[in-house]
Amino acid sequence: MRIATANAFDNTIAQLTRRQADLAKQQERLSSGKQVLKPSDDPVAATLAETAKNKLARNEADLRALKASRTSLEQVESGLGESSDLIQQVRELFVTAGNGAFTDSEREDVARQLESLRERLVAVANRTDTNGRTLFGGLGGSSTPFVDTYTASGATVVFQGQRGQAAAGNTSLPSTLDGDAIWMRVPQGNGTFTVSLGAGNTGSVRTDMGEVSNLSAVTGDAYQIAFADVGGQMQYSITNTTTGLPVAGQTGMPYQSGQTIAFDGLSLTLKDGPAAGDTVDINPVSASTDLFKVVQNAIDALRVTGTGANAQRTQALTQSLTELDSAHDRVLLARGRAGEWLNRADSLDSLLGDRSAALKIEKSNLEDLDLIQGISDFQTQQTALDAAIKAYAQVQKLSLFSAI
Amino acid sequence: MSSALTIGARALTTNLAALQVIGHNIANVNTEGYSRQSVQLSTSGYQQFGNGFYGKGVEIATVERSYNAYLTREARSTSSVAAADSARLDRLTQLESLFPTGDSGLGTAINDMLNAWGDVSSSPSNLTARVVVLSEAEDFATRLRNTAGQLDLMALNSQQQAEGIVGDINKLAQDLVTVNKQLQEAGGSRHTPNDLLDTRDKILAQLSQQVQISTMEADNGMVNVFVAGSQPLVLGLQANRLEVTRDPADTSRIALSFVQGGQSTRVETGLLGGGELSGLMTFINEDLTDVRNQLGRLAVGIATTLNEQHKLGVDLKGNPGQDFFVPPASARGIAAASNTGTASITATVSDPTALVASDYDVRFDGSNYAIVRLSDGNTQTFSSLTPAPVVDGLTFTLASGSLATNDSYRLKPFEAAARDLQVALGSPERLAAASPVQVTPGTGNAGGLSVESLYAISLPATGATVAFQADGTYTINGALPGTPFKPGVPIEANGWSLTLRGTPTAGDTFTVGASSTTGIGQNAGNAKAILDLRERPTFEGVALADGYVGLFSNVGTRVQSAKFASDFSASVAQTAETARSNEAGVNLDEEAARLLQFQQAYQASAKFLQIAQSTFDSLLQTVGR
Repeated sequence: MRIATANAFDNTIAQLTRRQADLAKQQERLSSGKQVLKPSDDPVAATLAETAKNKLARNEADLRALKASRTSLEQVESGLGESSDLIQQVRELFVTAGNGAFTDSEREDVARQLESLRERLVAVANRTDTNGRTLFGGLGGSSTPFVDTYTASGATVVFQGQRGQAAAGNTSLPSTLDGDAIWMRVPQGNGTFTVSLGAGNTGSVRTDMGEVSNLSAVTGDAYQIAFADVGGQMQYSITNTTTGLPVAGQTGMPYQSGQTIAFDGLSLTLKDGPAAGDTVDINPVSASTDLFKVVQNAIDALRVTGTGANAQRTQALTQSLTELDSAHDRVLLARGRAGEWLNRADSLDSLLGDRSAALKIEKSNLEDLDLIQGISDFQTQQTALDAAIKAYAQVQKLSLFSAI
Repeated sequence: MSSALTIGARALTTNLAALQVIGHNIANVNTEGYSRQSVQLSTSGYQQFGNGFYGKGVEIATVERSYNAYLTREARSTSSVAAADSARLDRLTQLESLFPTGDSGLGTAINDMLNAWGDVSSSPSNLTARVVVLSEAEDFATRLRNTAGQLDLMALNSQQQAEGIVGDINKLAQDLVTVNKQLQEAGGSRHTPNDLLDTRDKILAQLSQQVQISTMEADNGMVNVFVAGSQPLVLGLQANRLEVTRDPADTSRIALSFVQGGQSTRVETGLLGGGELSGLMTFINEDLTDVRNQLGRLAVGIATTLNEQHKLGVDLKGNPGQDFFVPPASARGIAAASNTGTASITATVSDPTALVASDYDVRFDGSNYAIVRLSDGNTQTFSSLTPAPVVDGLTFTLASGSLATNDSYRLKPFEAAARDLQVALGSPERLAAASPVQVTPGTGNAGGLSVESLYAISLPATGATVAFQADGTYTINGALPGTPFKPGVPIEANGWSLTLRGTPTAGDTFTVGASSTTGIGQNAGNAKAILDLRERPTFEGVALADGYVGLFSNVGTRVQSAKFASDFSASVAQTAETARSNEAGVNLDEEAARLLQFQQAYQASAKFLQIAQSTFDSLLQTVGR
């Protein structure tokens, strides 16, 4: 087989060029540390690496959102803690105010303190985070969710946020709590019925909050206990004011201070002496009250004067105390929930952190050069180029012309 | 006596001539396209004498050229294919550099832009987060426009290069005609005009680098050259021309036409077969167009999807959201040159999740309208263009006029989309992060359900009440039967989508109604909707946030397969060329050996002449006085 001289040189040059190009490419890989420099080097690896990068970016965004939520939740939790402290202070004042030896001015003092505590409670509920988002606004709504309005019937707080609780997602947490559910849903009285003294009472009769003794017998009607002096003995009669009928077996019953009256599944204890014509009203609970109204009721009760004011006051404060405890429970419940979410934030943080690490490893496996393999390949190619050059140098010396 | 001198003289001249031919070979060892020449010696006949036949010496029959037609043809055609693949690979490698992966790529820009909405969702009244969204969107639009601009530049360069190559081809054709003429003049003689034939073959080799040719040789060495199957580029002494023309239906593609005798006929680029021109044409008409369409589809898909959701939101001032990006313009149909009708057809995007990256043709055959997807030839036929047919997420509307029989209109919905993408919003307050609907739980709800997201999915979004039954199903506005509830799965009705989590209790209700205007600063419903868009399958099933992956992997795969093809065809071409030149090339060692051979023969002939002369001298000495 003949070999043309020119062609032999051309082929050798082509080989050398190819080896040099391979060496240069390997050098580029080594200096950049990447196996896949362009998508065409390995389209599959490039695609997977880019997808991993996208997931990594998404993870980072989720971590950022989680951090923001955690900051808000920490503020929520501390706000609820402060609210709980304030409620404790209110409670102490309620107990103090029940002291019968107080004068009007001392009671006025207590009332003023309660007013300032009420204002602070409203302020805590209206807290916002550093970005201007309300902490207790629920799903949105006004930037001031709890608005104190002054109407003819007194001061009421109106909820102008958006009722409803934001949900925790797979990798996210809510940043706000539903303030309406925390402070605006306090059950009235004992939850089923309220007991109030008639407005024109002159005696000193008062009751406790009452309880439900037999749930199935509760009718949900309103009742009135009327006292009458019959032959020197105080008697009471209970009328079902909804139906207008007297309650069976509760007409003309003798009254004793401290006795417990039970009827239609309800029972309550009456204390002290009523005057003739005094009434005690029992009303079923229809709507919820709110914490601020509870405090306001107590403030109003402290300012009541006139005959029978003591009894009215005591009755109102008893009711307020019970309602305050219910409100406190709700605040503690919400605080517990916020704490639980903060715990979840920790575990989500570590979950997302683990995911980031795994994605980085995946991306690196696909894209990065194994340095040891790379260096060894580089050495091999260097040797090959060296061998090709030396072989060429040897062969081109051989020519018949140098011998003749 | 005289015959001895004649024999000697002839031998001397013959050997000298042989040495000259060898010298010519040695001198041309590195000349490209040179075929080795060798002398054919033959005896000069014989003379018959009484005692036998005496030979009359040696003479040169002819100088022969070492040439194998089959190997030469093989080398030519394989080098054509190799040139085509190599030209296409070069261009594709350049194209690939426009689509980097990693931080400088479009994928990062898309994801940064979409993920920035997360910060807006955390704090909707924070203007800084909104400004970040707008600036990320600007970055994305800028990168897209830059890439499109580079693509345009590349197309222009390639088209100019194609014109240059066509010019080269035409010039080579003219050169061939000159050689043909010389061959004709030298023809008729018994001997082959070797060097002229080498020149001719060299021109043919250069020509086949540019475009695949087939040749037909006449006896006198004149050659006829055909391109693109059967178009006669050179016929004897006449050369015809190739020309680059703009495709009348599509200014981004170019076409070739063959000009013969004043008439020009269109050349199908698929018939070119090989050569740099063929590789370049494939790149311009197929690869570049495909990639441009894919880039355009990316732009249209993202812009339209984002615009649609943005318009379903409410901005910080309480106004309904505007377009986030400037909406991509509708494509206008370009009439083919042979059209006789007067129709004006437009294509508008109606469903961004169904788009396919391709150009479209609308054709009328007299009774039916065919809408052809040019990337794979898929055709759908319609009997009428009203109501406007929807194909691949595009609505084709006949704006005015009508199509005549055999009319064809080309529509390119994605060509200019990436080039013209702009962010339409200027101020961060116009970012529509709020949702137009809000949900209010019933006052008697047990509290086991919480709201994950609520946003509008189409306008108008009207209110409704979702009520939960005892069996765990929910009804909308009381319509029975109820649908089973799954936490985390959206409830869609009346143009909105509500996602709840938790456990329902019988009697729980959720009322969806219009958002209050006072709560805009706390409302981030639409921002959540845009975050959910990241997962929406938009590009033939691929999620929106991963749209770039399909694009660059398509380019990468093209380059990789072009590289394999180029490597393969280059090695085949090299083998064929080696085979040809091994047959026809000069081997210096061989020439050196032959040099010695003929030098010895010359010395021997010279010695013979000397001996012949000395015999004459001794004869004269003997006879003379």
